[in-house]
Amino acid sequence: MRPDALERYLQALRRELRGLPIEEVHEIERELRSHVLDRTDGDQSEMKLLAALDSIGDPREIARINLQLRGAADISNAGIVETAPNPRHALTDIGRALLALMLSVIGYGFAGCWLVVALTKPLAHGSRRLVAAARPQWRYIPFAGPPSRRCGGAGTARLVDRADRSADRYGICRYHLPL
Amino acid sequence: MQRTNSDPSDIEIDKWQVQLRKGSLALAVLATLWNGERYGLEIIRELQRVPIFSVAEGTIYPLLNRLKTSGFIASEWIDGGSGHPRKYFRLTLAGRRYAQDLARTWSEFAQGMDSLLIPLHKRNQGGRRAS
Repeated sequence: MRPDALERYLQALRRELRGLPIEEVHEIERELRSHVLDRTDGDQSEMKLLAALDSIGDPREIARINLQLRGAADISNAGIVETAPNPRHALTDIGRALLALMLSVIGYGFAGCWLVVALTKPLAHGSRRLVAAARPQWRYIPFAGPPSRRCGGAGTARLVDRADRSADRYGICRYHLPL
Repeated sequence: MQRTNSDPSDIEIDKWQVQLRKGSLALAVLATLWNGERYGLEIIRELQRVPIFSVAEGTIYPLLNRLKTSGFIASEWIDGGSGHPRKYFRLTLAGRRYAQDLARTWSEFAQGMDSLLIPLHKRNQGGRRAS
């Protein structure tokens, strides 16, 4: 006879029931212990004991159903499941919270930097803007008629308005034409 | 209940029976308590009279506890001279009403299903006659 077969079974069950309140675990154990004693009917032989444990079912399966039905009852009663503290879950939650905090700080940091740069750049002398603006397109238009180095020579006045003309340092006319 | 062959229809029937059992076990348990209080093994032995309710005995207790949490049954540890205390379960007033409602729903369901199955039964009888 192995009197510890029941204890080993209950120990395995206890392991699987982690997360349930300790009072509930004790109650489940007590129920199954009583059930086994009823099943064996006072006969404590190994064969009877093992048969009784076998009829109860696999401890993992029994634990799974207990956890499942316990969860369903809690949901239907709109209550909060009070579980035993689990350090692993707590560490995971803290890690997730820190990661979320870090990502948000980085994101806000980048956004702040871009905002500051965008606001200060137009005020800075001779600076370029962060986003390249459309620059006026200059086109060199050959003069019609006799060569002239003066801007606004003959043949050009008809093409563009005077205000849009300018001469470069060589005196060659450039005309600002809208695209 | 367990089938060893791999016929897809047998596998599907097994799955369907599991679902059927899951859906009706609570009513069956409540029915076993209708005539008075019982302890776990008594309830299980009563259920085992119906083959579809031959379940692992340890699975009855979580169900009993859920019914208790819902207020449909009450329980009490009694040391009745058996050498060890037993947990007795009994229906509460709410449990009796709930059991009656479930039983009514079940009867309606079964009647409706039976009416739908009449053609199948006739076909089976016709097939038997032909053979």
